[in-house]
Amino acid sequence: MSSLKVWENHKFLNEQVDIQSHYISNSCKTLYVLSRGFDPRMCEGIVKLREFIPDMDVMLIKNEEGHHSSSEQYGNLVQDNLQTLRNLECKIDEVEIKNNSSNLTLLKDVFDISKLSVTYSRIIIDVSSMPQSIFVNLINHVIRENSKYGSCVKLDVIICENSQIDDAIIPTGLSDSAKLIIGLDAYSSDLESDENPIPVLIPLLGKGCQDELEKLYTSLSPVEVCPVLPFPSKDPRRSDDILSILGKSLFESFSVDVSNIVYVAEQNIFDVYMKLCNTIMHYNKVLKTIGDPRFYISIGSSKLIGLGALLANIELRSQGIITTFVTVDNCGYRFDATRYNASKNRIFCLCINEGMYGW
Amino acid sequence: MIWKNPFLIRQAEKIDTAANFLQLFSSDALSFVSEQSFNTIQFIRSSPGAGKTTVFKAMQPNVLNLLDGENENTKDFYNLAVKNKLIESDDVKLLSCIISCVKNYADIDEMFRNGRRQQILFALLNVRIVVLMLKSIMSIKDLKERNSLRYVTFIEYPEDCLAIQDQIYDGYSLYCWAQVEERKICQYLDALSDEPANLSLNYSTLFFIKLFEPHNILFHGKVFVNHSLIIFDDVQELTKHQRGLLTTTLFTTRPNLGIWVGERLAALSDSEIIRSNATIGREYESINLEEYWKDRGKIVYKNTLSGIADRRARMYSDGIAFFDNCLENKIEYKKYSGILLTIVNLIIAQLNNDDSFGCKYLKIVEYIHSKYSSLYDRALALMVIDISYKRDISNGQMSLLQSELSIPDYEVLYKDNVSVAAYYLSIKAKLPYYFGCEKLKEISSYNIEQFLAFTGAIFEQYAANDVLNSKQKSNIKIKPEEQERCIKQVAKQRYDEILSRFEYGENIQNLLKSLSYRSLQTRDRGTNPYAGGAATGVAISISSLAMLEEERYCKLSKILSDCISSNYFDKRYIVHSGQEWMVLYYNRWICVYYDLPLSYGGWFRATIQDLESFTQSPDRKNSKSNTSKKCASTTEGIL
Repeated sequence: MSSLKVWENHKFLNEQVDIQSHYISNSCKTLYVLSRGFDPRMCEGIVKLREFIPDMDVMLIKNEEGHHSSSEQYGNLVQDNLQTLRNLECKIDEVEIKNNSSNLTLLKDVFDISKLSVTYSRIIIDVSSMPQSIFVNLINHVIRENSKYGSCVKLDVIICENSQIDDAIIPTGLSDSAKLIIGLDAYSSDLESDENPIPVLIPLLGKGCQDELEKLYTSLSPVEVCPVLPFPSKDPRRSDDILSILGKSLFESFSVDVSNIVYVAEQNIFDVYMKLCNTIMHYNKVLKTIGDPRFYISIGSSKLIGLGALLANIELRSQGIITTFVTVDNCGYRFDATRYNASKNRIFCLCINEGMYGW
Repeated sequence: MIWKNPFLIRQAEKIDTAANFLQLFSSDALSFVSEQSFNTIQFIRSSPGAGKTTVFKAMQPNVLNLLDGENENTKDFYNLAVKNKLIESDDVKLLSCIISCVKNYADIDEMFRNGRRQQILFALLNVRIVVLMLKSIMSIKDLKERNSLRYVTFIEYPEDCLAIQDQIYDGYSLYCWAQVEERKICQYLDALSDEPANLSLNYSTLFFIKLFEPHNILFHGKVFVNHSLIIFDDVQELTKHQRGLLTTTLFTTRPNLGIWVGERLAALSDSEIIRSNATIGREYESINLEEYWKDRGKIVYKNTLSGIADRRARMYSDGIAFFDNCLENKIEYKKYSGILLTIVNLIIAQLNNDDSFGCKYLKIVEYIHSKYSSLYDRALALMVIDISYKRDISNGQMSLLQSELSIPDYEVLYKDNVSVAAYYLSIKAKLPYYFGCEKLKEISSYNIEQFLAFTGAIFEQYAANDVLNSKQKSNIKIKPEEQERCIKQVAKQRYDEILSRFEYGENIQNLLKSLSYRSLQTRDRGTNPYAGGAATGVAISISSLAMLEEERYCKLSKILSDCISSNYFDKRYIVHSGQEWMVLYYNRWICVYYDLPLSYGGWFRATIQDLESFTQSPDRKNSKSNTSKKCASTTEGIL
């Protein structure tokens, strides 16, 4: 790929000390957006940043999974997280959403940048405990709206990374079919009038996505599957472990060629972004000669890798290549809290429109 | 090349070419089709995997085009197609398309309010009907270029199309218009715009359906099809509101063509799934595929399964004429002689030591010794005696002069109980029980995908043996023990899957565990109380079903409807002791998982409160009242 067109002014901070100095030297009125949930990483970011950002309001997104969701059993963990948040003594506004589709209403109504920019100079979106359908739409929407208004607010994304927790949270009550995440060209990339659609599935793999992967494959019937695995990774054997779980499906059921595997650095968003862009552009060039390639990305991996994929989606769209995020709806999660080791948490910060900071 | 197990190519969507589809397709699945099917609105429902999409795919022109009356694989299907005028002189005479509802239609309902959500939904459906039907015409007429659609004209256009009538004068212009319109609608949806949609037409109904009535379409000025069929597949993916809207609109439009609506049972409400018999009292024709197979009878269903298995086995190698040839159906009893001998001795000792009930059988034991030379046959005959002996004890009454069991009486006893004795013996001696083609068919519980999952696991083993022992073909048949291991493995996978498949997966597992515990209790008495040797179902009185409407049982209601719509329970209605009952027989893979017999017949009664308590985890259950204990002693029945 020739150059990073969309993200040439990015800044990615992965050391606590850098994140700290970034916020100390750029003090401004901040809106901190995070999602209410049982994930123990929910307040990890905000607790660490609170002391450096004195002027901070909180917008808490409450994702309603339904009265009988299997996640309801972790109500005590949610309450613990909420108590931690309240202890920070910020002004907290709650926004309730019910499912994927009402995200869109939320985005349009609540994240009106023209209004928010009057009060806030910076928006921080903490995706650590945010469902993927919400965070990809939210970040995409804020970037789009912000650029419409001349990047009037600074936009940062915070992620508390811990792959052990990612593996310990298993979605339950999976729907039987794949669903395109709306808000990101879901409809335009699934036209019946396309002459010869060629579906390509790019699953970002983690240890707990076996069921989801099989449902995606059955629903989309992809011609090519390009599995994305984390390597290098904090745990050097992680990609091998993932392959030992998913290998039978990938190589026997889906007949995936080993050379299709894309290895991306687990803790470097821009490595993910560049490798996905390169892969998709290559497939697009080759497949365009015989039909209409359709690229479907599923996030079964860590959110950090998912965020890299979102950046690739935005970059590729600017070059006329449509990629769509695809998921399998679920009714809740199972979480094995005993597998949580807080010492493995690591905070990352992506400054999206850091040009505003004058770097 | 990577080898693919032909039995695991399950979904019709995944069979890549029409030729491959035909190689695997059995036309028995289409026997509900008649000429009337192409002139009515027909609902086709089932749990996942019963073969809806396969049936729909069989109706597509690319498949019909390949039918050959001379080909052994397609002959039956060809004859059926000719009989229903889907083919005439080898020309396809059925125009059809499948509209898949798994395309984010449900989100439209969330994105818009009032009339706009109906308008956008119908806009998309209308343009997609146009696009897919015109593509279907291209397939029927083998047109390579899109602009060949200019030879397609329509006698009459629906009134609602007036606004674009100057743009559409043939099939090609209509296609171009629909292509642009679809793109426009989708871009509008992706833009999440608040502005009203700038669409070419006012899409208040599905008016384009009428355009494709068979008499209305001309190719080179002539009518060229006998029937038209529009299939809406996976309608359960629409919202309840959209599903109602679609159904109402279809009935109001009343087109002169066939409309098939394919949906999973899950599309119905919890109460409809649990309480109603979906085939009765409806104004439209509705087919439940599992019920359909049951109605046609076991023999027809089993023959169909044989056909399906044989076709798939032949896809692997022409040398395998029948799937049954891959299976070894005889157990090597020598391996089990130790345990069989122990069982024989135990039964005899028990009879010898019981002066009250045992002496009745002592002479017949001698007869058995002289009659059967093989240890297994002897053990089996003694197991029959053991059943009768335990019944005597269970009845408890002893006559003063216990008459000995005569040989003719023994022969009758043997005939009546031998199959259950074989099951009991397999449990006691740990002999394989779930093996052989017949058992595989029974395990399928009228679901073709389920049959393929179990046969596929065994065939995988066969293919592996074939590769490993390519020079000694005689040894590659799958032994009963191996068959059972594969079958149990698939049953376990299905059981484990429950946790991730359902919102209340854990409760469903608790329910199955508690029910099977009750069933195992009936088995372990050893008296053959029910057909098959144990209860394999639970009965709830019809009058108590109303309780499921109550708020406190809404979770149980959801659990039961999930189980029924996923075919975990096979629902049947019966009248017993002057009372109406709904019997929920366990799916036969659940019987495999819990080592229960595969016959239908035995069931026990349970109240709604019992079922509620069964869904809770054992810890919570113990802390509550012991309702289940109370019902255990009094509530059994025999069908």
